[in-house]
Amino acid sequence: MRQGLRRALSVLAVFGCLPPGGSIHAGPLPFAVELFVPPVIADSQAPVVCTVTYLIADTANNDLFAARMRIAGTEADTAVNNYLPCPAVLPFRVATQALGVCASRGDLKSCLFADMGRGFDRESGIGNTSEAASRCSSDAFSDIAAACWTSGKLSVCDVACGHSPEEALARAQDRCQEKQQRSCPVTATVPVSGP
Amino acid sequence: MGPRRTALLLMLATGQACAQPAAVVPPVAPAGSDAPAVMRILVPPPLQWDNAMLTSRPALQQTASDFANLTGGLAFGMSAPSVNALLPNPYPGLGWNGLSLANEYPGEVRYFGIPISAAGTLRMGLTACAGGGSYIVFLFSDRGLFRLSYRLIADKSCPDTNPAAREIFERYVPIGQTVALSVRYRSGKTEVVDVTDSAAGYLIPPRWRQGIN
Repeated sequence: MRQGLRRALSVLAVFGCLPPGGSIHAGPLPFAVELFVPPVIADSQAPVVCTVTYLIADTANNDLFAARMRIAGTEADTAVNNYLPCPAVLPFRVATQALGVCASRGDLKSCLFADMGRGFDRESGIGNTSEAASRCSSDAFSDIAAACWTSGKLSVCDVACGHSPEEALARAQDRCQEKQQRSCPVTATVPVSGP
Repeated sequence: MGPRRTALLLMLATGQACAQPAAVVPPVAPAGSDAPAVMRILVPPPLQWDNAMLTSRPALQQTASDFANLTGGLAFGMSAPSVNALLPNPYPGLGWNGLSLANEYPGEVRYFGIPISAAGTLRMGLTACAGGGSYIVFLFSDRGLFRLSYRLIADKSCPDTNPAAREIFERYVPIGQTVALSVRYRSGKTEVVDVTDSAAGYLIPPRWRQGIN
């Protein structure tokens, strides 16, 4: 009797009829095992980290660079309207690094902050530019813009921030016209936080 | 070797004499007038700073695939025949020994060039005029391709190649410098955009200088 039961169990095991708990599959597993890989999900509700964007001009060929600096927050930071705060004071090394974004792709001597003073067409040194006025922070503005006039082969520009591309452009043109005492028809804008 | 290729290689060879960086030349601007115009802003990848703003690093992780996606499959380290095979009109029988020497580099660097009009994907969707004699040079060390060099030469039909150079440069600037170093400068009448393997070491600094043609 006991031997008969053992034989019956063996037959059931061979044909895979044993209840769960035993080894069911005798053949080798296929190589194309599709392991479950969770998709990368961006948290669309996460607060936007601080980005400070500088506009840097390469006066050798009139290129404008948007040098974006993302600054990590602290655990104590609280988002306002879903934007994490940016530091109130930025060390100059951040600005230097922004210039470096341009210099590494051209020539250090020709890379300047894009907000230029009156008379920049005659004195085109970095001393005639404004670091603070060439940047916008994501906790305060969504867009940064430049407005320029052309002096011979040189673009003379000024920079402004806005809550929309249109506002940033209008403010940049106002600033340029006020500072340069000229109309500034050449314009450019990008989002502060980037795509 | 066909007459077209011979002419191109000769043209390239005449400009390879000098090793010094190009001098900074007067800036080139968009057409000067009071007419409204929109400038392009170049957007390099962002930098990530720590909270104390002491150190920074690239905020995006980019790889050679990003570069290959942009260039239609080109990758640094490829051999000259492999690069040639990717071009719309490959040169028949092109090999290392048939390439000219680029004398402005230390060590053995060889190159070949193609007209920009026949560069396919590498034209980067150019809309501005580029000049009829403009070309792209592929530079190789014994470790393979390490630099693409766009040389945009103004002519009567295209008196200003700065907008074209900016358009090309604009496409490469978003590639981080851990992958490719893109540099733009001017040498004589030629606008140059160099895109170099960031691992090329001592081959990175030399810039092309237009010879006396």
